[in-house]
Parts: sequence; C-alpha cells; structure tokens
Amino acid sequence: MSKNEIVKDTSKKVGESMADILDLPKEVLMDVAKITIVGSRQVTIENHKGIIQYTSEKMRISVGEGEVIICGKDMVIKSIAPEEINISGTVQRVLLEK
Amino acid sequence: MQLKRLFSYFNGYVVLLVEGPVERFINFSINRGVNLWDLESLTSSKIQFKIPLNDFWGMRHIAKMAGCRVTIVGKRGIPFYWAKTKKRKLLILGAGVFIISLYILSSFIWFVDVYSHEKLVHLEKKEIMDTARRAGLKPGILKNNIPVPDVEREITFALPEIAWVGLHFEGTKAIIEVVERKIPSEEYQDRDPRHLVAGKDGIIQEILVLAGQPIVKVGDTVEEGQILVSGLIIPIEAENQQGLSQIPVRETKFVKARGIIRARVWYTEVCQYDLHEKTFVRTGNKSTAYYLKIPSKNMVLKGPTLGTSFENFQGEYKVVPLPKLPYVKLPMELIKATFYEVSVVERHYLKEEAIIMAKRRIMESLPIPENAKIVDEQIDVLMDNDQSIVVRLIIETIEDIAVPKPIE
Repeated sequence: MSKNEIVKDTSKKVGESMADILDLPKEVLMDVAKITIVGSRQVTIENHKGIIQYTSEKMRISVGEGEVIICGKDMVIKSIAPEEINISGTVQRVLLEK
Repeated sequence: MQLKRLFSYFNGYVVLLVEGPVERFINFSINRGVNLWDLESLTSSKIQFKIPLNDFWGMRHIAKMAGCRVTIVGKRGIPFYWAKTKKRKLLILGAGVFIISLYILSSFIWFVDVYSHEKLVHLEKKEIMDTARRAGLKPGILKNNIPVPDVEREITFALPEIAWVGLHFEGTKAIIEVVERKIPSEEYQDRDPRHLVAGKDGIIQEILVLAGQPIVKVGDTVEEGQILVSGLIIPIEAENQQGLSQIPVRETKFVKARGIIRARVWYTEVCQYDLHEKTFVRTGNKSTAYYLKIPSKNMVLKGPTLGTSFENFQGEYKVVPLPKLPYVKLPMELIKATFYEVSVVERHYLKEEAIIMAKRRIMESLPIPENAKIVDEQIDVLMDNDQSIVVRLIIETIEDIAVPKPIE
C-alpha cells in the first residue's frame, strides 16, 4: 500500500465518520455517487465521473467506486452537467459494478 | 425543468449532431462545464443534443480534442429569431406603427354610455348623453382633455332630475353613472285644495272625515256630483261675547278634503238572454291547402279548393313569406289555408239556467267597485217566452262614493 493510498483511505474514513456523527448526507462529504430511480422511466445520478458508453439501449456511467450500467429502451439523456446526469426512457436494468 | 427550458429559449440554443467517439466528446464537454440536454443516441457513434448558445463557440475546440465531427441541425430561441427579424425592417416598422397607433387611439374616447343602478324613470339615456355632449364629453376627444369634475357638475346643473353623476373611463369608453333624484309621490306633491263629491247617487250610511268640512249627514240622499266634504273651511263666527276679544280672526282655509263616505247605492240592469244557443266545436279533422295569390286571381297549388269536403268548417289563412329576392318584389303571396271541420251544437237552456246566466252577465257588466259590499240583490223576470227571457237585476251595495274634485 503506497503512502498516497493510505492518505486517501484515511480521509475516506474520516469523511464517513463525520457524516455519521453530523448526520449529513454521505454523498456531500464523501465523494460517492447518489443514484435515484423513479419508477422505470427516470434515473438520476449525482456525483458521476463521466460517460463510458452511450447508446439508446445501454449506458455505462463511471462513478467513484466503479460504474453504473443502465439497460433499457429509447433512453435519452435529458440533461447532463458536471455533477448530475438525468436519464429518461424505459429503464429495464440498473447495475452497479465495482 | 420547464423554467430551465424557458430560460434556454430566451438565451438561445443550438441543436448539434456529433459523429465520432461520442462518450469522449460528452466527457470533455461536461468537464468544461457545458450543460448538454436532450441527448439522443442515433447510432453508437452519432448523437444529437442541445447546448446553450453561449457554449457553442467552445464546441469546436472540444470536437477537435475528441476527434468528432460537428454538424449544426438547428438554431432556436429568441436571439436567432431576433436576428432574423432584424433583417425585416418593414415588419419592425409596422409593429412599431401598430403599437404607437394603438396607444394613441386608446387615449381617445370613442364611446359614451350611461349607466344607472336603478332603472331611469324621469330621464332617458339620450337626454343625459346630449347634455354630456354639450358639456364637452363626446366621442373622439382626448381622454386627458376631459375636465371630469366640470362635466359632472354641468350635467347635474343641467338636469335637475339627477342627484349625482359620476364619470369614469373604461378603456376608450366613458361611462356616466347616474343616480336619479327620488321625486316624492303625487300624494305628497299634490297639495291643491279639493272637495270630495259624490261619484254616484245614494243614501249616506257612514261618514269619516280626515280633512275638510263635512256638508252632508248620515241619512242624506245625495246625487252624483254633490259636494260631500268641502275643502273650504269657513271660520265660525267669532264668539267673543265674554271679553275674549283677543281671538285672532281666522281666515278661510283651503284644504285637501280627505275622508271615507259610505253610502247605499243601487244598480239596476236589464238583460235579455236567448234560450237557444249555437256553438261550433272542432271535430279534429282538418285539411290544408296552398294558394298562390296573384293580383287578379287565386291559384290553387295543392290541396282542396275553397269549398272543402267539410259541410261546416272554419278556415285559417296564413301568409307564408316567400324568399326575398334582391331588387325584385314578387307580385304574389303564398297562402297556407287550414280548414277545420266543425260540428254545430245547439244548446237549449232551461229557464232557471238562463236566469243564472243572465245574472252573471249583468254582474260582469255593472261598474261595482271591488271594495263594495253587496247588501241585497233582487231578480225580476220581466218577460219570458220560448225564445228568450228578459231579466232585471237590482243590486244594493254599500260603498265609498267619495271622489276628489279640485276647487275652482
């Protein structure tokens, strides 16, 4: 384990315990994604790290701890901004891969 | 979300088609803080999306970095629209002229109307409008040039029937709100002295004088036109025998005599009543015919001729309006005739029935006022044969016979 990784790991732990103590949302203090699914028609991912693959049937979106794979039909990115991505269409499967 | 759409419409946005490694392109653009929306993936290497006009200029650089080809599909929003409109000078000029003329025209008064909360009794709308016109309020003058208080005052002065006038504007319409003066009823207005005279012959039964000098007594027989209560009060001869010399000599007073004078009144009426009576009853059968009426003769178009198959009938004729032709007046009329078959019913009355009918007919014809009390009635059969009877009815009532009459 390199020194850099140890620092990163410690900061992560501190962030998590801070979030627990102060009862704050984890995605704010820690750099993790928040995925919201509304029925089968909308998926919102906050704190994403960019798109890996984009077609109307399959989307792969990189998040801090891995990637989110969304399969469906006629999917459209309603909006995309540095911190939030909004997907709508017929969502069939949402997969979080680490 | 909708608000965001609206903003982007105001600021303008561009629809772009990007070909190449699209994921790279998207990641580059979001890293540069460009917001994309409505991304549609057409094929795996072809997307279409919308970006704000402000961010469009950075696209070239991003596309070059990502190795993509960018095509503009559409330009939308106010800025593009404005740019397009700017080229059409005449349209802008027209819009400007329109707005200015609308503004100018709306600063004039074009209509004048009168409004009253209650129905106008003494005045007509036209009168008020004419007065307003004289006061300076008429269609076609500038709203600002109308001296509202002056117009209101002038209308109030000119028309004494008006208690209050309010003038206000609703757009290009001036509304004169009017409240009419309540004029006291005639009862109060009419203070002219008058007598009460007998309206009918009769014998006085009861006298109740509210104002005036009674002249008749109970039991008097009066004739029509005779004065019952005088409106002239003549002072009684001064009785200043016991040193009451200070009594001022009263003058003759004129009053409006009022009172109730009930009298016994007789009505006599003779009536003849036929014992046989013919009535027509419609049987329900009918036939319809159409005629064309030309100045010289009638032409039957359809249906039976005037002499229908019915033995007895009643006819109804109605003019059917012909379609109006311009400039030419047709010299003919279309007439629809309906014939109703009737059967003649002859009725025979018994003598007793006829007397009752005759009495009813007399009662209807006699001028007995509603508040009269019928005291006595007497029926005499004067003549009677197979054809008809003659009946005389005498009715005795007690009623108020006082009628006001002005003093000359």
